[in-house]
Amino acid sequence: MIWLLIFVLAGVVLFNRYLLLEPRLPIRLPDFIRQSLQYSAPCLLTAICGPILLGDSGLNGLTSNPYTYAALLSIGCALVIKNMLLSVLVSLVGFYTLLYMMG
Amino acid sequence: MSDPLSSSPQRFWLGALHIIPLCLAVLPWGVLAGSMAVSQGFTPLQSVGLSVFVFAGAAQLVTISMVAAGSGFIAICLTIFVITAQHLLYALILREHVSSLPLRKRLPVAFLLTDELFALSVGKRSYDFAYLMGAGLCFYLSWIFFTIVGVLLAASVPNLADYHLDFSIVATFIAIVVPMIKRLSSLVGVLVALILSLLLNSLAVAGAIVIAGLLGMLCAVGVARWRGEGP
Repeated sequence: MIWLLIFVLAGVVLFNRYLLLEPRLPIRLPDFIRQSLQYSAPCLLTAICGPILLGDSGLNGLTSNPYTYAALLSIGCALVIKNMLLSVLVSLVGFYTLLYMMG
Repeated sequence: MSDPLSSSPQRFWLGALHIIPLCLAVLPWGVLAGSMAVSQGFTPLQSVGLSVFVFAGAAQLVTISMVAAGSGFIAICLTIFVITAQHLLYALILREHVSSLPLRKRLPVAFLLTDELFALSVGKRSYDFAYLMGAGLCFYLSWIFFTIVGVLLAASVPNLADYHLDFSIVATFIAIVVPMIKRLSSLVGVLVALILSLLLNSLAVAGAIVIAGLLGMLCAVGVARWRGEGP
């Protein structure tokens, strides 16, 4: 099942990478699609964080969840530190410190 | 600038040389993609297989976390389709240089067309096949190597789930997303996606991530049009 998923996903990604390199394809993406694609990365990456933040505790557990506070810290880091790797590193240190303190 | 006088092997190795800094920059993500896959229940071979066949960093991490969250097959495929849709734009921009090549050259370029290769190619205004292959293959092999390192690291540590490595996905995505938010439209899109994702996932709605992400994108476009934001 996982292998089937890997091969199908490989096909999906290759399709996206190849499609507009195909010379026979007349290209005209509707403006609306073109415009919404600009937002696909931030919106989807954010949506993926949802279930990780919820964990096992659900919506009510968000206020007592170290993930929530560490995520807020990460947002602060990303705003202040312009280097992406350094920002991730600092927020990970913050996360494990929080995890240790909240027990 | 691409120099028509330099030979193909020269252009190949120049491409490989130019992409080395970008290879080093993705070292942690490669290691993360490998170790995360193992810690979320992929076998070592499947973990490396993701890098060998899919070869898309963010998409791999997303796949791993969605499989771990028990998402459906179709939902995962749809999400990956939308997430990697920015490649459509890359191909559109490389099109005038690549679409005249024969299929046996277009396909390898497409397979190796990552964010990094696109950035390098456009940044250096080098669109010739040899250069793209040198850079693309160097990046591909580095990515696989880093994944294997991650798999080996993860396999040598027991009870990996106890270490809460999944937060590193959140930290990474936040570090990628925050600098992308430059306008009200993207801020609204991200907030809608976040709130809907939390709500729908807590209600165990099927396809919650895709629905939340797509509605976030729609709201962002709505706000952009309402405010008359430029492209």
